[in-house]
Amino acid sequence: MPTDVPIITIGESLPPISKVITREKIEAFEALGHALRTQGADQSAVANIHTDPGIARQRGLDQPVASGQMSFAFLHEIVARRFGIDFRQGGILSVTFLKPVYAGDVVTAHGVVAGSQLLEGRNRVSLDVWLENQHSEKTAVGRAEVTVPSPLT
Amino acid sequence: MADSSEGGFLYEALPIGGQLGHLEYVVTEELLRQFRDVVEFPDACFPNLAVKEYIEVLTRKYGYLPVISAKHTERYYSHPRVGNRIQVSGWVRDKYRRRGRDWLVVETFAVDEIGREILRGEHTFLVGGMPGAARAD
Repeated sequence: MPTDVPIITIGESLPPISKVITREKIEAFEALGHALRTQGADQSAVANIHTDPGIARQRGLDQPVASGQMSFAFLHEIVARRFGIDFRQGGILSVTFLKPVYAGDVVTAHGVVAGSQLLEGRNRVSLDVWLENQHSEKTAVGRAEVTVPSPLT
Repeated sequence: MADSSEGGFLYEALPIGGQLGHLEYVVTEELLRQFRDVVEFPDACFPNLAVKEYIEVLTRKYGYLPVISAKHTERYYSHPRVGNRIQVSGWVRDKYRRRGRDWLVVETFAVDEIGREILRGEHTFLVGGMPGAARAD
């Protein structure tokens, strides 16, 4: 059983992280996913709501939208920077997507410790996380859970 | 119910609990570097985020279904190791109608080639387009 459990204070804010969203990044994210899925066997360009204006309009969007997984990645990062391997091995992140993120937006990931409970020599931490755009609108909200130290490490 | 022109026929046919397609991929050093570049996080180690396993297992089994992401949850066990083959299985966790829209929940489970658990994911889709959005066409 761990003997040195770090104190994590309810209300602790994680250092925010801002990202500038560009069309190039959106397309690179899609292309990378395509390359992983096909293992490079399919060199064709990706055409979906994230890359093709016509397909985006068909789905009711004004223009191509950044993948929700990009938003998820930014919220993942803010928790991973604070909790490292304890999050990567045993952590949970759950995110609800509220508003589209477009090229030209600047989004900032925020996180705050909402709960901290000592249990059997470990600290079970819950966090509220959210992503805001440059208009201070929340585009995604979520919850993370981390046990420190992770029982899987 | 979802309109047939919006994949409604396929949506209706999806069985809750039904197994979806299988996906395998290898995270190479170069692809991991590209992932870290695009998300601007040098320690990022879950490139599955770009893979979107939940939609891939769905389309590999049933083909194209017009969906928009509503919610995503991941439980992490271990990050993928460079060079190891990741194997992903998925199934229909749930589907339901709420606020006049059809929703679909897909669960995925990823392990590597030596059986090490990587992560479990759950993704909720809104079937069709954005709610209340005007169609440009």
